Amino acid sequence: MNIERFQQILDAYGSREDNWPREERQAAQLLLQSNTECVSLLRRCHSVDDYLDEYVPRVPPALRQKILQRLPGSIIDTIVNWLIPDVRSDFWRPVIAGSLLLVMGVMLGTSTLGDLLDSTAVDDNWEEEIYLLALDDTVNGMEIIDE
Amino acid sequence: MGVDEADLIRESVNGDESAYELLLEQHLPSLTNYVMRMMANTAEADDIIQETFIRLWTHGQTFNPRYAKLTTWLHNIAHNLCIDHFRKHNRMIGEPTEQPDVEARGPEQGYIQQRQVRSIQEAMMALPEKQRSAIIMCHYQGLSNKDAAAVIEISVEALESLMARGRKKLKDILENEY
Repeated sequence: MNIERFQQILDAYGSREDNWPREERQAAQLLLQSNTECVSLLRRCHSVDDYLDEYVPRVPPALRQKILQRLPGSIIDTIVNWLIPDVRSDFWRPVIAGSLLLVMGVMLGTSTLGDLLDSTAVDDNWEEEIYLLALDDTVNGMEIIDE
Repeated sequence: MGVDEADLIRESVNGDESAYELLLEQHLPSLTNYVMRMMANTAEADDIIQETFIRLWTHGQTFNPRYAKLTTWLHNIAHNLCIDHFRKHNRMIGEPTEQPDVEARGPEQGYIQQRQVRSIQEAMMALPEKQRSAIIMCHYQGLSNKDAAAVIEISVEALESLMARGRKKLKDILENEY
């Protein structure tokens, strides 16, 4: 450590010893104790640090909550958030998610199984099949030729 | 006994929200101070802080504790988001917000204090982004020179040069002011 390097440290890191590079701090402190020129260099460097210390930024409110609310979750979570945006309760979220799955299951079930179980639809299909067979020109797979 | 940060990150990456909340608790105050000083307390700072921590949740698996500390990784994300913001908006920033705490010292004292803080804020914003970022990290954030250099992705020598130029400019501006 020499005065030139000491000056470079002050220019870059300022007068606070805690901010000086860890691996050079001790050497810089020793030089400071033994050299009056270093003391006057340090004294001249204080003002910028004092200005900087006055600048305390504002902390935005509810930042933590905002971040947690914006976390992307599962598809079910996304749908629940879309349907009921204000729900954050540990009890109601799984209940709503479960209900949502149940409702989706019921809707899917009624739309597909309903057609299969509908007897009128089965009868209609059967009648249609007989009608088509009656129009067919083949008997047991052999074609009837009109003479 | 404290919980190991590497374990918390692993659990957070696996979707454990309580592990994530602990990481948030540890790093949010420091990152907030960094971004608020980089962006001069503007409303955009709020979005950048949120986005930084959303990335911890969504891209946490890209963090490797063997190569960096979590605080360095988060500062790197926040630094890049700030730089991107300045590039997109052509270095324009919103109106700095008021400093609410200084009013508590009495109206006259509060006014002087507020003006002083405003001057320092404006002087900081007059610096190029990388100079400002380097000074904030080494003066306020307690990052080592190696970590601060890693955040800006430059050498330690280049970092020292940035800080020396930044501090000289700050001194010139502020000593002319007072």
